[in-house]
Amino acid sequence: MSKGRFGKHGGQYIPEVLMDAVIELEEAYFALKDEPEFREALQELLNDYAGRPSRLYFAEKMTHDLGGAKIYLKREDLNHTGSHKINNVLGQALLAKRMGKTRLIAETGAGQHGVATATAAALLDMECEIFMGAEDTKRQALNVYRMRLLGAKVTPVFTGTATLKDAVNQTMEEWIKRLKDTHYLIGSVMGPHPFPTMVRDFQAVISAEIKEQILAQEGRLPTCVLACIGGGSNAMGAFYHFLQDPEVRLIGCEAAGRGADSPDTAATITSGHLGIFHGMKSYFCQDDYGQIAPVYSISAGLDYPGVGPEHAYLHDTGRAEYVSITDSEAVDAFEYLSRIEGIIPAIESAHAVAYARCLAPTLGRKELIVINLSGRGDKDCAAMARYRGEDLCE
Amino acid sequence: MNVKQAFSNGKSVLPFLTCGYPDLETTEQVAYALERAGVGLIVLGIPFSDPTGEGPTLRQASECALENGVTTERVFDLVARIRRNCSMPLAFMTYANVVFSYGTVRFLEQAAKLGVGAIILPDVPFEEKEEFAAVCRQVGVQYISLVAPTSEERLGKIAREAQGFICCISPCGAREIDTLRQFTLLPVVACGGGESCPGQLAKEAAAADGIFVDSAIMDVVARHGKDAPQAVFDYAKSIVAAVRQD
Repeated sequence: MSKGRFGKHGGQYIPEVLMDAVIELEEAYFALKDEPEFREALQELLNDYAGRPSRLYFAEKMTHDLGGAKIYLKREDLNHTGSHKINNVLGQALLAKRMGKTRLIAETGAGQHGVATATAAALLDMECEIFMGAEDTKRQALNVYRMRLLGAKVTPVFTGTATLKDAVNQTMEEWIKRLKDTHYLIGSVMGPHPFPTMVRDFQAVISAEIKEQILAQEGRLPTCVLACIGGGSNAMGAFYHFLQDPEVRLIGCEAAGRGADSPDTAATITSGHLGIFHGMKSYFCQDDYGQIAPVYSISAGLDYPGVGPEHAYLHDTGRAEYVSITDSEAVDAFEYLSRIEGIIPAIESAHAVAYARCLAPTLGRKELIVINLSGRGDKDCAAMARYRGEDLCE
Repeated sequence: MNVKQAFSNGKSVLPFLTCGYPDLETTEQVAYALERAGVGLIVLGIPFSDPTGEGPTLRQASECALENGVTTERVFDLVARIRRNCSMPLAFMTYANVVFSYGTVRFLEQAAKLGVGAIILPDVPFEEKEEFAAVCRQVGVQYISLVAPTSEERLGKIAREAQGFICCISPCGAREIDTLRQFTLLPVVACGGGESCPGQLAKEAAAADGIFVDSAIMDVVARHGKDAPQAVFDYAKSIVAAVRQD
């Protein structure tokens, strides 16, 4: 069995022409990840530049309103650039710089990963090009402008469904064209080894902090940790340090779009099958002949037909649970959290908030729920207004 | 059908065809035209929804074929029809998920039954090949290794475990071909890399035992649509002549 396996999932299903690059990356990552100098440089950036540690906030009004478990919000939305994406981006960008790369390329769905990558490129004086589905450049026009403002070139992708999966395809192709000076900064726990492991390690700071903070505030571990899941980076980061604590339920909230049993869905674990795509073996939405399905979710960040291989494995073993949340439940939760706590969540994160609204009332008052609030929702306001039939000009 | 036969008549031309573009009937007729033109082996592409790394012609061909309802099953039917009229070496080329989702054993058994002698999976590198190559050995289909410019050590590793022939992908050149020959007696095939001029293709093939024409034939099919067989015949013949002459 090849490298980077999580049970039967993972691996390195990529063209031969990319193998030297991923081997080089793997060697560099495993050589540097525990090197004190690298760790210090990264920690300094995470703390002083990105604003870590992020707060673990007791959502008192929400807790009272739902009348069950005590709810905490892990405020990844307060990070610089507005989401958890910066954790991984700073790690990989520093690594790329140490490898002598001068150019970063990345795919983006909602634009959060693209903005984070453009930010790191500006900070570290690197060239940057972001590939974004043409559909998504329309849905997330503000983020396109932010990336350009930060000095990145934004290239719309018109092939296929013109969304996240097509952006990944084109970034992969671009990487093949310029391997020497370019690092492909994958934004989620997906793709060929070492990406799923490396991105998870960089995001694991989330669960390391949650654990410390909840023990300090409550003196015990949470009952459940909830996170939304597209590729699954914020969920993997929020789950990782609890994997060895079987009493902590880990729940990933997928995007069901118009319903997990409808064709307009991105709920990969709920409705997908085992397959091989984007460098990995995992679960994918696909037809009977292995053609990748055109998925749909109101959330551009979750609108992806696959899921990271470690999530697929956690599903197989039963260590994590995966549920699906529809567009309409997510939009309700987006509005709910805004009104009840004065916190506008990203529409992605709203999927986790939506499930907490179902779950909390079924649990006792002594139980603790932590929701990983992976991003802030300013970017989604125009789209949510449109969803409610308001014609809002940005 | 043994792929060795493809190299028994001098330098070989190995054209790629996307099955089902513009329709399955045209693919069938183009295959006969290629045989008449004297190519060594036809590489039959089974379309995939996300053909990463392919140029606009092949991407559009795949998309169009899928829109027309081409499936793995229909491609098998097509090959069965081709086999009734033609005995030349054939290979399948597709993405790992097409084979895996059909059931790797079931897919390769079917390929063997249809007389398809080899399979090429561009998204499966050396490290992942055993999952497919082991089944290939069981059913008697050659698992074709692709190589890209890389270290001598890696070229050697790939060459020592290769079967059938080795296909160099762009931008490999004479250096890679010469290195591979230190490790293997198998035929080594160069890649056209989108090149369409017969003279240029012959040059690419100079150090090799054959040339994989990755997209030039499909460019002709795209231009001529249902009338492609005659145009492909003329064009393929000029490639075969140029490559043999060189």
